[in-house]
Amino acid sequence: MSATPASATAIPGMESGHYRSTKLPDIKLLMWVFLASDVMFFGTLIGTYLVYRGRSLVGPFPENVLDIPLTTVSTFVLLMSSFLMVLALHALRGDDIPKFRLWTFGVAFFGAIFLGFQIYEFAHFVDLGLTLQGNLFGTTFYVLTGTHGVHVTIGVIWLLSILVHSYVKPWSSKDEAYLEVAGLYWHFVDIVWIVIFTVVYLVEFV
Amino acid sequence: MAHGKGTHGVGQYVVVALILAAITYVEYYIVEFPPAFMSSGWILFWLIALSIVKFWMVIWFFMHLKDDDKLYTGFFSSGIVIGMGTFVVLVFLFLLPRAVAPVVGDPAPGDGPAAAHGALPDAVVANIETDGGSRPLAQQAGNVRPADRTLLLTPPAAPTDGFSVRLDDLAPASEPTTAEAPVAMAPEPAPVIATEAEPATPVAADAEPAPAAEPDAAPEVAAAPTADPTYDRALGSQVYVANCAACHQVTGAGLPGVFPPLAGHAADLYRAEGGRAYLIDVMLYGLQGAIRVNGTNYNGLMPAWAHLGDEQVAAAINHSVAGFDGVAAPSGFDAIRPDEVAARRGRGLTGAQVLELRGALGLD
Repeated sequence: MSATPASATAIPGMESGHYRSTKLPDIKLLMWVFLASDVMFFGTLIGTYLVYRGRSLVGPFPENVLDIPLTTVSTFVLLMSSFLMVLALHALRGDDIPKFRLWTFGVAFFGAIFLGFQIYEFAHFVDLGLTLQGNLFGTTFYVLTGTHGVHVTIGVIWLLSILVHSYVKPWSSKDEAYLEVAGLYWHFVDIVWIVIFTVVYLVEFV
Repeated sequence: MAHGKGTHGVGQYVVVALILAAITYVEYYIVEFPPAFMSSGWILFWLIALSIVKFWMVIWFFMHLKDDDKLYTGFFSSGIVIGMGTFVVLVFLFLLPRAVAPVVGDPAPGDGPAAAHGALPDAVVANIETDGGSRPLAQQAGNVRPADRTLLLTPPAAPTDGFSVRLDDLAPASEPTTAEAPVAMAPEPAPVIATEAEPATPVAADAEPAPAAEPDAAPEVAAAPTADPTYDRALGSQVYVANCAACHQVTGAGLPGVFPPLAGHAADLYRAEGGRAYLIDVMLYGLQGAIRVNGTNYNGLMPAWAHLGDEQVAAAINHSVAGFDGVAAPSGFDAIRPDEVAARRGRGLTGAQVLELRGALGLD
C-alpha cells in the first residue's frame, strides 16, 4: 500500500510511521487492547469480591468500616480529574500549551488527592481491625481497591512524566496521540472506580 | 481553539462532567437518605442503572468512542463481553452449589449482631463505637449479618452408616417425610442424633428440611442421662469437612506453623482437666494469640463458630477428638452432647480470653 501524503496527514500519530493497514495509530490501538484485557482483570477481581461478599466469619464487616460520604467525595474528585483530562487533550489539540500543562497538572493533582483519600481510608480501616488477612472482606476489598489504587498511581506518574517532558521537549498538537493514550488509560481507571464505588460501597447500605 | 471534530467542544465536556457529578450525588443521596417510596430493590436497580450510564458516558464522550474508529469500540466491547462472561461463570460456579443444597446452621438465640461484634477485640469495638463515620452505631447494629449458608458436603458414607437405612429402622412412620425431602444431598441428621431419647418425634413432627440444626431441639436430646461414648460419626465428618477442613485439613494434620493439628491434639485437650469445656469454648468464641502445639509455635486467629447449631458444634468436636483415621479415641470417651454446647453459649468471650482458658489447662 502506498502511503500518499494526503492520507498521512489525516491520521494523528502517523508522522512517525507507526501504523498498519488499520490506518490507526499503533499506540492507541495497543492501549484499547490493553484496556480490554484490563476489563477482564478487574472483572475477575470484582467477581471474586462479590462471590465472597457477606461470607466473612469475623468482623469488621463492610457496614462497620465503609464511609459513604467520604468515598463520594473521592469519587467526585476522580470524575473531575477525568473532566480535566479531556480539557488537557482539547488544549493540546488547539496548541494551547500553557492550558495543556495546567490541565495535565490538574489531572495528576486530583489523582493524587484521590490516592490521599485511599491511603487515609486504608489506614483508618486497619485501625478498625480490617486487615488483608483478617477476614474474607478484608482480603477481597484490599486486593480489589488496592489494584485500582496501583492503576491510579501509575496514571499519576505517567501524567507527571508528560508534564515534565513538555518542558524538556516542547509538545505540540502533533503529539496529541501520546496524550490521548494516557487519557484513555486515565478514563479507564475512572470507570473502574465507578463500578467499584457502586458494587463495593453503595450496595452495602441498600 | 478551532478543531476539526466540532462535537468535541468544551461545552459538551462540561455538560457531561456536570451530569456525571449530578449522578454521583443522586447515588449518594438515595443510599444515605432512602426515599420512602423506593424499596431497596428499586434503589439497587437505580444504582446499577446510574452506574452503567456513568460508565457509558465516560467511554462515549471522554474516551471519544462516539466519534472514533469503531475498531476501538470492537476491541473494548469484546473485552467487556469476555470479562462479564468470566464474572458470570465465576458467580455461578460459586453460588449455584449453595443454592442447590443450602443447609442452614441456625444462629443460636442471642447470636445477633452484638455477638458477631463480640468476636472483635475490645479495642476494635471501642474504635467502631467512636468512629466519626456517617452511620450511627445503632444503625450499624441494625444490619443483620446474612445467614450462614454453609454447604454441607455429602459425607463419604460408610456402607453401614447410610441415613436412609437408619431412618427406616427407627421410624417407619417417617417414610413419607424422607420421600418428600428432595434435597438428598443434604441428609437430615435429626433422627440419628435422637436415637436414645425420642426416636420418632423429631421426624414425625417436622417435615422441615433441617430441624436438627435448631438449637431448641437440644434439650430434648439432653434428656438422655447416660454417658454416651458414641456419637453421629457421619454428621461429625460432614460438619468438619464443611467448616474446619479448610484450615485444619481433612486428616486433621493442620499446616505446621500456620494451622495447628487436631488429630491427636484435640484428644489431648479432651483429656486435660477442664478440656471438655475448653473445646466447646474454642468453637463458640474462637481463639486468638500465640500457642504451642507438639513443639510448634502458632500465632493466628480461629474464628468463632457460634452460628453453627449445638449439634453441629458438638459433632465437629467429637470428630476432632475421636473421628480421625488412625487416631484412637481417648479411653472412656464420653462424646460431647449438644446440651453441653448450649449451656456454654451466651458468655461473650473473646479469642484472647479463650487463650487464657487454654493456658489454665496446663498443657504445653
